[in-house]
This record gives sequence, structure tokens and C-alpha cells, in this order.
Amino acid sequence: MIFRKKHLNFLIICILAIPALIEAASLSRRSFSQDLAAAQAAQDADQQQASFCLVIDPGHGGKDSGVLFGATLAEKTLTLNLARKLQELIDSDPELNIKVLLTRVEDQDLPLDSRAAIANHHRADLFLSIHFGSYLYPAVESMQIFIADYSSEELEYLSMINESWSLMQSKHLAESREFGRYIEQAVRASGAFAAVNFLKAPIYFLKGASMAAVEVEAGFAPSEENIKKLESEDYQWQLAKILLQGIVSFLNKEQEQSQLSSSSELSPPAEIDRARENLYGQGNRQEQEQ
Amino acid sequence: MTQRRSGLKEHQAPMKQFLIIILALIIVGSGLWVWTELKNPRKMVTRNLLLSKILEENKQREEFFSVQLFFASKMGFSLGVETREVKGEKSSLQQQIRRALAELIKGPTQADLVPTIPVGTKLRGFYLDKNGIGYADFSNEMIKNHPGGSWGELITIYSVVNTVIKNFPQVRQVKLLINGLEVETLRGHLDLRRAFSFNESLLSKQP
Repeated sequence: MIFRKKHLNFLIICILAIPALIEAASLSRRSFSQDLAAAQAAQDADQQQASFCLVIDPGHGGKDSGVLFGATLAEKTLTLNLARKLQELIDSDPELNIKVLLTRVEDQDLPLDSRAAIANHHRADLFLSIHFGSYLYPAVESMQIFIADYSSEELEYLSMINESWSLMQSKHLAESREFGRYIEQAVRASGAFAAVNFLKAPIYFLKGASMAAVEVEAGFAPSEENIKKLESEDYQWQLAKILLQGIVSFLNKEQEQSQLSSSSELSPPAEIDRARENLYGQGNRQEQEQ
Repeated sequence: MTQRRSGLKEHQAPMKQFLIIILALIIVGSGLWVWTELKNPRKMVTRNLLLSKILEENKQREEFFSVQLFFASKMGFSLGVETREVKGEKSSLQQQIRRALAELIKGPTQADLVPTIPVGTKLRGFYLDKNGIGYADFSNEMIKNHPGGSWGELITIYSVVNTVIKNFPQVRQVKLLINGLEVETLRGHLDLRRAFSFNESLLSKQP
């Protein structure tokens, strides 16, 4: 065995490389942790920015045109146009602190259950489904505001078969009623509709929503004049502003109530908290509190 | 074998004749009894009474019964009532309900009311279960020709439900079927998987 000079050189290079490798590893670790911290900060900022999340559901879409106004104007187009305008209004005012999402952003098919599922997935605070209708009679422009309705037999049956999806909205009916009332007030105050009706009905696509959920249906007598009005940008902006007024009033009240309750509410003793934690585990505890 | 069979036939012939004579005597005897009974004046009155009672019952069956039909109101967001006399048998509840719904499909005659059932819709049947739930089975036109909208669906459904329950209280709730099958909605709004009770709030104008 002869220890040659080239072996010695290799050994020296290796010894010198060790600190460099250690430094490189720490650098990469630092950059990874920095990325993670940045992502978390961005997420936190996003959450802080948007106090509320609103999901707007433009009714119908794709093969389902909804109500046809004349030969060319379909309800699915009107609902998407109005939803986009409402989103634009909210996004243009960062002080509102509302994050807006649409269940569909183009003319596409969307199953009825998927609409509430999207709102649930994003843990939305509000779900607003937009629709239009056409009535021969009464020949007045009207706004119908619907919240979900369950019969006692239906509730009993759904609980018996453990149909948790359709039961979802039954736990949020009080909030939905409140939300609907604020929309109703905004519509009445605007004077844009000759009649405003607040109704309870077994609306299929509201039943799976696990938050305050309302459907609005603007109804029009089928006339050339009304079709032109419905198509006009000005009118759609007006409708969007009315709906926004209702949404903002409801959320302001919600915020006030939560502030009041948080200031007056006594925090539970630490032992109870710890006992809960042991019982449910951390993740479940958060769900329970929610 | 052939001889034995022919012998038997010869033996059975007088027996047959005897039976025919007995039968003839019975017919003649009962004929005579009926004739004497008819001649009896006391029994004639009873018979006539019975006959008139049967005729009266038949007449009653052909009589009309009154139904309250619920149509959409022209004046406001509500259901209006039109009372109509419908020809039908009083004995069959389901037949009466079918006739009442057939009248609802025809549409209103009053000028202040509008139809609620789409054009071309037919009632395929009406069935009642032991729990008082009625199943109104409509043809596919109920969906195909429906204009849609939550309000539109609401008024169609409750015009059927209110008409059935108001006139036939034996029916507690009504479930709508299309072509014999349960459907989710008519045109994507109201949940048709459930049975509906009478709706009082739609009778007056909404606030």
C-alpha cells in the first residue's frame, strides 16, 4: 500500500468541502423554512383580509338554460352577469373584507348539489343563489326571496335514514331567515320592485348549505320592454348594488353581535378546556367550537 | 271392451231422462212460485220500494259533487279558489280525486285566475296509501312544458296539493310523481322527493 500524493489531495479536498456542504444544507433549509413562513404569512394575511366569505351561485348553466326571456335571452346568462357584477362591486371595495367566490364562472353544467358543496368546501359564511323568473301574472316586477323549508315528517325521516347532506341547512335556518330579511329590506328600500315576497320553500339547492343561504328570484312579466331592461348593464348594476346592500347590512349586524358576545362571554375555565381537549382531541375540539 | 262400453251407455239412458224430468219440474215449480209472489199485492209494494231505492242510489251516483280548485291568482302572489261541480261517483274516493285533478288540469273559468298545470299534462293516476299520503302521477309534460322558476314551481305544486287536501281531508299529504317515478325537481328548484301538506300561507297575498 503506497499512500500516493493524489490520494492526499483528494482527502484535503474532502475535508475542505465538508463546511461548504454544511453551509449549503443550512441555506436550503433556511430558504425552505422561509418559503413556508411566507406561505403561512400570506395565508394568514388572506384570512385577516377577508373577514367573511360569500359564495354567489349563478343559477342554471350549460344545457340548463333556465327561464327563456324572448327568443335569445336565457336566465343562465342573466344570473352569471349579475353574479359577476356583484363580485366586481365587492372586490373593488377592500374595506368590505368580503372574499367572493362564484360556483360557476362560465356557461357550464353544474349539478344542483355541487352548488352548496362549493360553498361548504370554502367554509363560506353566506350562500346567495341568483335566479330570474317570468310570470304572466301578476304583471308586476317582483323580487322573491326564498329560504329553505323542511316539514316535520321530512326532518324525522332524514334523521332516521341519516341523510346528513339534506339536513345541513336545517341547522342554519335562523341565520338564513335573518339574511333573507336584510335582503328584503334592501330591496324594499330601493323601490326597484313593485312587490317583494319573502317565502319558505323546499328549495333543492339550498338544503346542503351549511351556512346562511338564500335564493333570490327577480320576476318579470314577459314583455319586449322588460327584456331590454333585463339586458341593460345599468339595471344589472342596480340589482347588484341592492343585493350588496342587503349582504353588507347582514354582515355588519353579525359582526356587531359577535363583538358583543365575545366581550360579554366569560371564557371557560382552563380545566374544562383541557378536559375537552382530552376528550375530543385538538382537531375535533376546533370543530366542536365552530 | 266395446261391448261393455255400449252396455253402460244403455244403462245410463233412463237415468238421464229422469234427471231431465226433475229439472223441468224444478223450473216449472219455481216459475209458478214467482208468478204467485208477483201477484201478491203486499209484496209488490216492497218490491217497488226496493226498485225505487236502487234507482235513487244510481241517480245519486251520477250526481255532481262540489270541489274547490286552486289556481294562480292574477291579482297577487297567491292561490285563488274556483268552486266547480264535478260529475262523479260518490263511492270511490280515488276516482273523485282523479276527477277533481282532471278539472284542475283543464284550467280556470274565472277571469281573475290563471292555469297552474302546463299545457298537455295528463294525470296518469292517483293512489292513496295507508298513511294518508296521496301520490299524484302526472305525464312528462308537467316537466317538459313547465316555464320553471322557484315561484312557478311552488304555485304548480301547491295548486295540486291544496286542491286534493282541501276537498279530500282523508289525504294528509301529497307527493308528486312524473311518469310513475319520483323526481328531484320539476325544473331545478323545488325538492319533489318529499310529500307536501296543505299550504295556508299561499292563500292570502304575501306580505
